[in-house]
Amino acid sequence: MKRYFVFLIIFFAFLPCETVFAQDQNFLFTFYQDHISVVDGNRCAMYPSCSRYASQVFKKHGPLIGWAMTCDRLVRCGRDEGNISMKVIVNHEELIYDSVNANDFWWFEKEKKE
Amino acid sequence: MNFRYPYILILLIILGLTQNSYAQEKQVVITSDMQYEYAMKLFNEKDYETAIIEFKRFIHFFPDYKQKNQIEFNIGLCLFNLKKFHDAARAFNDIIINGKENDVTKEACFFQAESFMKLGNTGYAQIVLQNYLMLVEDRETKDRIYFNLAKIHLTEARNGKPDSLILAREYLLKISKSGVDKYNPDQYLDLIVKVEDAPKKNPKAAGLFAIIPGGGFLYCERYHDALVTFLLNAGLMFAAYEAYDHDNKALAGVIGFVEVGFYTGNIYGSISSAHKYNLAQTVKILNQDFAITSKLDPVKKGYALLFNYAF
Repeated sequence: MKRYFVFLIIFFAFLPCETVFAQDQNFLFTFYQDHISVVDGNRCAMYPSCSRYASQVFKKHGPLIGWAMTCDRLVRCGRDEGNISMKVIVNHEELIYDSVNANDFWWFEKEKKE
Repeated sequence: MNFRYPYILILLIILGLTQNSYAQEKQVVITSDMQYEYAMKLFNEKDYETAIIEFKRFIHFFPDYKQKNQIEFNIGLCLFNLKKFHDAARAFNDIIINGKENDVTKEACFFQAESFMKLGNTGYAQIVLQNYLMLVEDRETKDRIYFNLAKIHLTEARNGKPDSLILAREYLLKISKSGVDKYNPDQYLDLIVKVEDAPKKNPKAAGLFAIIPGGGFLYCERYHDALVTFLLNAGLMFAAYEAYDHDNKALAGVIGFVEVGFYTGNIYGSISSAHKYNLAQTVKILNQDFAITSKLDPVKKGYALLFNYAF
């Protein structure tokens, strides 16, 4: 069991984040959006959608925080978030606005300073 | 046939004289006052598009007019009223850069800041007022700048910017005694106290409660999210344990990796939810209680603030 965790730590430690996650169009998310989501159907109640949010958060914060924030988003998708976040109309559909900035504003000021 | 020619000649002479006298009657000399009054009439009738044309015509025909920057300011006001805030900000900027220190330049500063506010750029609005604050010395203008800066920070607080309420309070407290009667800062100070006294969630406590999956969400009154988080984490933990117990370590590792993400996501989400809850409370109070808009009367040269109170 230890070997798997060591492998995971090494994998994340040496992950080429700049090339894999910092791209505008990440191949993992592009693949999901182009080949899985189109078959599965777009049912995400949030804007941006969970896959786009994940893409943005990985690009902004890297794989470790990105993974945690993506999991957090998947849990929150479409339920209690609607009580406090504002709504936006996208393609005649009312969606809950939940951007990356709305979830890291309390600790991440880098983008605002730029 | 010969009798006709004199009649035609007389007729032509009469017609020619009539035309000439008619043309003489139509000659009009437009003075600068007349042009200004007409442009202001259009402005007061809220025909801002035409007013801009007439103000520009004024500048073209009377380029040496003493109060030229007043005309340019009126063009800026027309653009502002037409909601062309970017163009308005540029017009006011030209007045600030080229104009001398006078009442028009002062109003241009405030309206440029207001234009940036309307564009949603509170940062630029602050810079304009901060720069002007360094130049002015009279107490009345300083009070007005402090009040406007407080207003900007209250808007930022409404948009969720941290520490904005503290800065708003600082500026409100800087208003002098004479300014207190005019701007009534106590009303906003009470509002800030009301926001601070509103029920809040402690992010640290939310993070601690999240040790039990879903506990943090429960604390933040997000009951559905709490239930989903609890079930998901419990399920993944159980699956990882079962896989490991059945000597399927690879599967246990993969499930464990996924579970680590959801568990940390649960802690992160709980802390984030507490912050979002507090922000929502602030926005709710600020949006419900008041809205301030500024108005300027260019004819009477008066400045007014309009307060809306939601009952």
